[in-house]
Order: sequence, then structure tokens, then C-alpha cells
Amino acid sequence: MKVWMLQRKLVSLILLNILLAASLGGCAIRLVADYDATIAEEVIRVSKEVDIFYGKLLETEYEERSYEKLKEKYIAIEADIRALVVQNKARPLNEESISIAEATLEKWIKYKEKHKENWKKYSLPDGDRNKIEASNIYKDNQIKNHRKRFNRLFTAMSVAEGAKKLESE
Amino acid sequence: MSFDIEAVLNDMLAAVNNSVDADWDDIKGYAKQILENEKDTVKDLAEQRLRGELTEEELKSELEDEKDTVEAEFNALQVMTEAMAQKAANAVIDVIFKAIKAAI
Repeated sequence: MKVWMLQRKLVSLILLNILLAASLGGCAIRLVADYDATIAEEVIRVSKEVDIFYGKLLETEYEERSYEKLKEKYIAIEADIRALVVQNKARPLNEESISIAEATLEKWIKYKEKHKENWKKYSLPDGDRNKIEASNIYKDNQIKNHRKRFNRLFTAMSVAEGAKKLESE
Repeated sequence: MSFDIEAVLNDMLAAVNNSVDADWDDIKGYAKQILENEKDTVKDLAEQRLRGELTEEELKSELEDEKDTVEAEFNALQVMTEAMAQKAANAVIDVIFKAIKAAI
């Protein structure tokens, strides 16, 4: 009888300690970063910025698709995407979102550099064998390909951020 | 003190099911969207190449970028899955602690 009572007291003590530790330590499992509404809004804003950029480029005549005229806009958008990378890197348990943001930045820089390279080739003097036609500065189909790609990348960023909301908690 | 382990286990299972149900539909939906995006894009690129709208080098570059894009999309899916697991795990912990508190 005494042994049984002692065992009961011991179990109660253990359970109480667990409860105390849990409530003091805020015991909860964390696998993902906390949701950040500011970043979620910024993703949408930059996504729109990129979409408008490509939308305008598509409406521009081939000869007017000058890299030089768009350089400032390229740099501004690059800075905005890089800011998303930095903001995501500052948060723990956020590897996937960092990876998505870095992939987006990498593509932006790649397509910017290709546009720059093509513009230089178009700007070569007539007769230069490396000169390209105006229609190849930034081809319509490539603008559409890249516009769709960024739409998917920003959607992935947005989906990842939205998943962190965890409303039922 | 009473601690009905069977009842607690049933409550834990119910907590997981309730937590996972809605999230699982979202995950399936996005996974399906990723695969459809991939299928449509690769088909579109192949047709562009056939029409001569892309050079061989451009197609190769686009396909490399496509690989990176799908990887990014699957990273987003990974976040959805981890968030679902987090919610479910914390729902189970909640059940356990409520049961322990009631038992003491």
C-alpha cells in the first residue's frame, strides 16, 4: 500500500515537472520560420514590378528594346529581389525560402546580362559579322518565357510564405 | 489520478487527422500545379525550337532554368509539408499536456 502511494506520488511529480518545463520552456515544435506579412506583401509588390517590366518590354518595338534605356530599371528590380534574399536569410528555419529567392535573383541577373550582351551585338557597326538583328535583342518568345518563369518563382515564394501562417495554432 | 492511454492515443490521432486534412488538399493542389506547369513549359519550349524561335543554345539554357524553377517550386512544397507536420506535432503535444494536466 505504501509502495503504491509512493509510486503515485512519484508519477505525479514527474508529470508536474514535465508540465512546468513545458509551460516555462514554451514547448512547441518548430520546423518552419514564422510568417512575415511584410515579406509576403513585398513578394507581391516585386512580382508585379517584374511583370510590368516584361509587359512593357513586349509592347516596345524591337529597335527600342535598348538595354541602356532599361538599365536603371534592371538595377532597381535587382535590388528589390536581393532585399528579399537578405530578409529571408535573416530568419531561422527558412532555407527553402532563401533558396527560392536566390534562384529568382540568379535568373534576373542572367537575363539582364543576356539583354546587355545582345544590345552590344546589335549596336555593332553594319557589316560586323557579330552584329545581330533588332528582333534578336530580346525576342518576343523569350520575353514571354521569362515573364512566365518569374511568375512561377514569385508564386513559389508567396506559397512558401503563406504556408508559414499556421492559423490553427 | 487516472490516465486513460487509449483515450489519449485516440485523441492524438484525431488531432493529427484534423490538423492534416485541409493542409493535405492544399499540398496536393500545388503539387499538381507544379507538374502541369512543367509539362506545359517543356512542350512550349520544344514547339518554339521546332518553329526556329529558339536556337539550340537558347533551348539548353531555358531547360536549365526550367530545372531550377521546378526545384524552387518543390522547395515551396517542402515548406507546406513542414508547416503541416509542425501543426500536427504541436496539436499532438497539446493533447498530451491537456491529458496530463487532467490526470494530475
